Amino acid sequence: MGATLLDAGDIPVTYKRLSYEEDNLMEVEADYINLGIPINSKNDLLVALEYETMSGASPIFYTPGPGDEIVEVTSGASITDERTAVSFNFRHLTDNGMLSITPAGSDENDYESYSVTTEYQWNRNNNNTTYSVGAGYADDNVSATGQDLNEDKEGASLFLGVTQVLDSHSLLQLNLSLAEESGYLSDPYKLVLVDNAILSDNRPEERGQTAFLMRYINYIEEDASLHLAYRYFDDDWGIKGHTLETSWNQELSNNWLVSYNFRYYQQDKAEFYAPFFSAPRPDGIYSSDYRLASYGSVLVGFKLEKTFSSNTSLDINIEYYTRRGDLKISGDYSTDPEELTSTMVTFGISHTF
Amino acid sequence: MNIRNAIILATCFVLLSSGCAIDLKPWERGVLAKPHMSVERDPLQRTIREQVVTSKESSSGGFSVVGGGCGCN
Repeated sequence: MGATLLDAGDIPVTYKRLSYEEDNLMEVEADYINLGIPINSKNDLLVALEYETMSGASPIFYTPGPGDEIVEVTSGASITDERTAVSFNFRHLTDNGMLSITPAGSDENDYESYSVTTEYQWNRNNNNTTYSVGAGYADDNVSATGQDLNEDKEGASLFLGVTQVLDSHSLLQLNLSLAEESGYLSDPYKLVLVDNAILSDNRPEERGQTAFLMRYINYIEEDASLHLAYRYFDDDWGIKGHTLETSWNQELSNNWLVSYNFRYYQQDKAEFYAPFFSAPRPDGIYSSDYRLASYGSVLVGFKLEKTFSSNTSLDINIEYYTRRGDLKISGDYSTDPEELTSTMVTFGISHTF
Repeated sequence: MNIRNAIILATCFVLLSSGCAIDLKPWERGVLAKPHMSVERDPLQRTIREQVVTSKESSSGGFSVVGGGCGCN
């Protein structure tokens, strides 16, 4: 509780490699490096670097098939992209808190993003309470491979949070984030079938979003902890999302730690989503992107970590994900032609020099 | 919208009213200092998790201050 700076002279370095694979669709390989640099007794810097390559197919639109069937038209194995991202988190220790400012940038073949976020964490009540207030701004540029498209997108966000120690074995965190995106929010690679005509994906140019997150952490004898999190999400487009995360962490002998992770998610569709449209909408707003549909998803994961006495640790994290209409627990769900399943494996190594 | 407003009001209330419940002394915080008791034990793993799921789902935010995006396919 209560953020602290790096210890003087310590330079922590973390490397992670992600291999992400969807059944029959996208594949992603990514390398991440996080580096901590102490500056003086009041300031330090955390640098994050990322390089990612992706390739494979992505759904483009849907057509009615025989009976009630929906046929998915994918891009074929034609999409390739790479992404480079960097961020610099400058942190300044104050008498009872920490101020941080983080400029960041990322570049893809078809997307550029520049952003800055700032946050103040205020420790109160002998570090038993930490308040957090933050804000972010992003200026993005969207283009599309093989298309003459160059569009802008902006984002602004506010963040409020409190972390409270409940007793010597548990703590609670409540966060609220409000975000407003404006500009080109459509997906240039998606199409929509409207009354036998094929049109471009066309979403509203504004999107207000609210996310409320509650996290509870409880120590369990012997040497285990239970983490519970619930997030409610709501936006202007009619999407309502519920996310539930649980994690059981168990210390084993010889500095091994094992974590069992479970995540459930469901969402209600955007009001302008349909797999295809039999009649035009008066506002001309359409999307058949399945990410805007009504569905549920389940993620199960396992992480194993070993800490060595020489300030070095190794970890492997394996997660398996399924997204499908009928995994939605409450309310109607969208018919989906193909369920999405993916596997994510992350290998990590950390060392403090 | 009503749920959203209710959540915003409830969070503001909790923000203003918390912080008076407990005063643990530093020597009573041994368990809370264990690495797996921290709210975000592995921030980089959280970043990766959120990148992967937000490229497939429409909810985002809540875990930290929101910055820039990606053209996720």
